[in-house]
Amino acid sequence: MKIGLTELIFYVFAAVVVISAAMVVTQKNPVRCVLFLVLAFFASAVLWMLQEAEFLALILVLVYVGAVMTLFLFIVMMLNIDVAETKLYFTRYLPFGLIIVALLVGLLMISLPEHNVPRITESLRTNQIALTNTEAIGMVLYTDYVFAFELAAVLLLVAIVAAVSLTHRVVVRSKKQQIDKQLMTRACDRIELLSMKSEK
Amino acid sequence: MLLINNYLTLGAVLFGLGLVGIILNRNNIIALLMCIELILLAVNTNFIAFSHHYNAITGQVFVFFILTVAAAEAAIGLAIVVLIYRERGNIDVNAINQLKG
Repeated sequence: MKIGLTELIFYVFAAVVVISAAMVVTQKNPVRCVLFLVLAFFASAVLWMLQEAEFLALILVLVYVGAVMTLFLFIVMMLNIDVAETKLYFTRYLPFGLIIVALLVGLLMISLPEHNVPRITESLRTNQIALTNTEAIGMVLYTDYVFAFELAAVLLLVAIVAAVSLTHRVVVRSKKQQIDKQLMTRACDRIELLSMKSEK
Repeated sequence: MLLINNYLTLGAVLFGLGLVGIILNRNNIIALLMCIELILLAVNTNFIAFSHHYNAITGQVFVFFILTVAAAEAAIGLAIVVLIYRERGNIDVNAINQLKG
């Protein structure tokens, strides 16, 4: 059986994805976990590009590797995690986890189609001119899915506010007004009258 | 000829690896978040494979929104991790049991 170039690329990068995903699960060092996850994202971006999803492949590299994984790396380096004690449960749950995963993956494999289903090449929309992938996504994103698009924007805003308000610490030496303290204050807090004997 | 079965198998294996990671790394929140990212990657790969197979762009639009939500989820999750670490000094999931009856 002759293997074409596309199949070769697929098998190589699928192997890279699977191996680096296994490394993410089994590595002890969290920094290595994040770096292997980055490798998995890069390899699956190549796989997505093989499926003619160029825009999403580039988004995966730019947004995911560039922003989310960098955030992960920052957090991992910021927190001083004790590596030794975090692996206590690893061997204890290993057989249990392997059984569950074997069952689940076996179930998914059974549900795969037996015979080779040919790909549908004619488009669902009849009056379609040849568009690039980015143009095709944009054509439906701003028309059919504009409500979902705006909801996503609101969701991102909520995420920004939540992340900032969760991690923001109150500044101790702030000059802001403290109304409850102002109202609770009494004259004796402000001024104290002392009767002293006058010096001769 | 690259078939959809290849991509579905890859998605199943990736999903399984993410799930086994969640079962095994039960005491490190960052590892849990990374395993969730793996599972989302498997789901997205399936979506894109089907989108290519049926020649419909809707699957890719769905992946776009999944990426958006996953980014928000990662940001808030990591903020919570930072909070937990600030309070307790570790990020052991099994030690977070104040709400346990």
